[in-house]
Amino acid sequence: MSQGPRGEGPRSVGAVGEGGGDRPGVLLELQGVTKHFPVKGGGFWRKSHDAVHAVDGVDLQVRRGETLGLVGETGSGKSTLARCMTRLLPLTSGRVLLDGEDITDLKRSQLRPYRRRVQMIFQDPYGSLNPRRRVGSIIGDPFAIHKVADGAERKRRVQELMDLVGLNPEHYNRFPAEFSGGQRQRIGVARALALRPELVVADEPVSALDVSVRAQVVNLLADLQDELGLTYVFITHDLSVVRHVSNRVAVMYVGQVVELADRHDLYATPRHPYTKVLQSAIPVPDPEQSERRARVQASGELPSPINPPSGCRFHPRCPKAQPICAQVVPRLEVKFQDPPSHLAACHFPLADGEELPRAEAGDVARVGPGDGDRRAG
Amino acid sequence: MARFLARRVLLGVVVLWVVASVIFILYFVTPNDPARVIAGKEATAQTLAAIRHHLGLDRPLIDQYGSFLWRYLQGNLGYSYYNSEPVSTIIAQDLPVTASLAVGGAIIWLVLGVLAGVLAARRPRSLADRTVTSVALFFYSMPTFLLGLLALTIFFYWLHIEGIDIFAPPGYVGLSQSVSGWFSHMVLPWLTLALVTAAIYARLTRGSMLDVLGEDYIRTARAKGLSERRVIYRHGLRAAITPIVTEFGIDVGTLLGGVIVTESVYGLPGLGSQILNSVTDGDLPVTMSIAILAAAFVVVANILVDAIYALIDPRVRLS
Amino acid sequence: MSTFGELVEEVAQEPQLGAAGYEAGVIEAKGPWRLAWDRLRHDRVAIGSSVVIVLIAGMAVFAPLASALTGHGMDAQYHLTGLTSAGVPVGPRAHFPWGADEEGRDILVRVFYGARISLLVGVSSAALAVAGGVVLGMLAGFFGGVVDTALARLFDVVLAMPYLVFALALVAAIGGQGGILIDIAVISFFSFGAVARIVRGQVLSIKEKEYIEAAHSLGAGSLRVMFIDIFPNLLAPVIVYFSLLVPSSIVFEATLAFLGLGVPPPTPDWGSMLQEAINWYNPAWWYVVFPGGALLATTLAFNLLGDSVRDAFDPRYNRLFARETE
Repeated sequence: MSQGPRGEGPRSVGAVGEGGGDRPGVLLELQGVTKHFPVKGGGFWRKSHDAVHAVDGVDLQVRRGETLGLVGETGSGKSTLARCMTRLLPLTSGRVLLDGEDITDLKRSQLRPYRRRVQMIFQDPYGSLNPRRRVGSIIGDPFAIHKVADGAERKRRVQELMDLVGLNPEHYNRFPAEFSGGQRQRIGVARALALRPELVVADEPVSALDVSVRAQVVNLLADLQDELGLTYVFITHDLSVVRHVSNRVAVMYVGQVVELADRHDLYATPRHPYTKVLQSAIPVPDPEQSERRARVQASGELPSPINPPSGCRFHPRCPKAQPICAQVVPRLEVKFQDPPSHLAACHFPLADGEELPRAEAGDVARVGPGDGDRRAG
Repeated sequence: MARFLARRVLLGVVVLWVVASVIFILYFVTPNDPARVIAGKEATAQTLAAIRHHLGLDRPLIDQYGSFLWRYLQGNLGYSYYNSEPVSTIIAQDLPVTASLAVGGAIIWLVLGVLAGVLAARRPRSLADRTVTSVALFFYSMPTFLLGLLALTIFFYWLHIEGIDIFAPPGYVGLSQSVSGWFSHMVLPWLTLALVTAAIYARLTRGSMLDVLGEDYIRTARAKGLSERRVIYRHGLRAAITPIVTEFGIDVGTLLGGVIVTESVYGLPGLGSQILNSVTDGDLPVTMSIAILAAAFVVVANILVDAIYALIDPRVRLS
Repeated sequence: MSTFGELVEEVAQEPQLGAAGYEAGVIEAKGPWRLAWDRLRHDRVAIGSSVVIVLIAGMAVFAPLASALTGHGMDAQYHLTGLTSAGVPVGPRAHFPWGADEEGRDILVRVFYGARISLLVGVSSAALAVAGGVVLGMLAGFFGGVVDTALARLFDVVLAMPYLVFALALVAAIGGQGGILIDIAVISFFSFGAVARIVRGQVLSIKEKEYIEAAHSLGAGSLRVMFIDIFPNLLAPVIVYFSLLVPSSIVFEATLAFLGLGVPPPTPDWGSMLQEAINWYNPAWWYVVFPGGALLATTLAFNLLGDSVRDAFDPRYNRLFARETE
């Protein structure tokens, strides 16, 4: 197989400037996207005014042909953001533009043509396939819904898709329960790709899979991107996965984007302390190297999204926090001499090579993926 | 709790209103003519009209509907079309019969059903389990009236023919008249009313117990060395009882409907026979009053079940 | 570099994957329907009760044949041969295999014809109740909000009605004219609430599944999601519920007929035959035993089958007649 997608990642489409507008190259644009979920409960007579601030004012652009990684801890709002992008959820405020067209306020029936262009791959390979339906009919759903193909033609195209994603087309009549986790995720991929969408939003597509199978699915996605010219938004809590597949990476923390950069810049010179913390949580295969490497950790728990901290939302856990961090919300902007594509929202960004002060062992909570991936040697 | 009660009572009032309205509509949608029932077939048109006027049946429907509801709100149940007796008097007469039947029947089915269910669940697939479950399925499939008929045939007529009179013939003897007479007249009706329902309880208890006995804490209780009796009754049954309480509340609520068949088979002059007669005679005030009473029973029983539920199961919070 | 990246490289070089190879090791399993069917097929209780049900259905279908063989019409009265000189019904004998009733009618022929009413009312009431319960329960669970509140209240009200009292009033009011259709309407009306409640609960939980979200993300409309994605998941509980509703509907119908409010006479009906028998069970045991036996055999068979069906779909359920071997 060609080295193509895996060597240096998919080629990026030429540099695109920042800011709004329907500039060529921008496929999907989010402007101040906000999603609050009202908290259930309250009294019998009065409604509760509390809300979960799942996503708060996110500006992002997804460029045609790229893979945008979206990283954050569980509860950072990345999955909600994915559902806002695909308009599976109505927005509280903000706009979603697909190819320059505003799709924010479209009704369900009006959204249909856009559904063909934007597809989603779901996290749970068990929950995302209807257990009572046959695989052929599940993958054929998009053809049926959009009245693209019928009968024998639909079957032919479904089997083509199954072949494309590495499933045996003869297993057309099987139930999802007859497949392994990795195979099920391939079914989900086939379904998402059936109508040749332009944008695929993959919500933690591999995190529910065995580590060994993860790589296969990631490779499949990368190959398909090459073959079909897809644009991906790749959501994960695992910085190591995102590093492998993305051109650009957005780091989310409690509903906000705290750093956005090209992959290399993000890894070489992380500006936001939270990015640094996430990075140091990546397991390292070499135990000696692991010993030498400074492991920085953030103290405390992820704050409640119902009552997010004032100012910079990371300040209660940040080793570099100063009084101003609790008062002024930092803007997402270029720091130091970074290229215009590298933005961070921090009052005290990390300089090149700067390490975070090490938190004391014992009273700290880890950030990022669990310890499970860590190998002894 | 107060808010919960308020909501349930409100829903209950709505149910009663719907029941009254539906019966009223049904009654007037169809050609019911109590005047003819009262006056007989030879009555002149004039007599019929006079009777109708007397009963208020010649007034506009909406007017009659309004006065019905208004009377009920005041707690006045009205008068029977048939013999002009106050409905409250009729109900007061019939209630002791129905209460005797219902209370006795409910006690029997609860005790019998739960004990049989526990017996079956103690050793699944044992002889006891198989016997209980077979008998339960048999009675579960048995229509009440058929059971009554069979019981009457076998335990009264056949024994009677043999000259053995243990069980009294169909009919009713008041408790105040003769305690033993009352009892011997009630035994068969009680069993008839109870056995079908007891079968449901046996199934329910068995299933619920088997679920509970499979839990870890039961194994822990056994491992601690508690006696089997204690494990079954103190730990098992206590946890398994919740669905049984729910079912009991529902069944007690609908009991007033359930006694109709039994009363009819054994010729017991209770509310069930009364409503059956009033329905055939077109005696609207009686039908309506007993139906509302029956619905009120259901409503109250449901509220009680929810309240008891919260008491025995601390996980349930009323909101 | 990260473990993950190395793993990806490593996997990419494995020859059996990639271009041609499919992922190996498909788990061999049967579909859920197939599994339930296989369990049912090997269940002796299910087979036995099915045989009884087929026999009863045979009675209903071949009732005219019974009439032709005995030479007795279904409601013809044979005062000379069917009653003794004292006017008492004759017992089972060559001409009247199951005896005669008080009017000198042939009980065997009437029991055969009675099977028609029982099965028709039982099956169609259960079907109607399930259909109504599924549709309303799905609407309530799927749309939520005001629709849900209104429908849930409706279910509450229907379930809180003293149904026999109500059925009496209803049948008495309209009965005699509508006959069998009224019976079906009344019985299904008082049964749909329980089905609707269960379906609503199921839909509420299914609605949260990711595959429903996936259907929405593909652009599926509400109807499609309800019937293509949600309904197949409701089918198992619905089938179980249906199979248990049939016998209870049969009992309901027989009870109404017994109380004199069922299908109008002289149409033969097990419930009304037993009602007529009430004054004759002393001298004429056959008058109770044959219609009563037919009724009991039918409800028993349906209940046993219902239990087996439930067991086939959910083997964990602790069934009444569990087999020794699994």
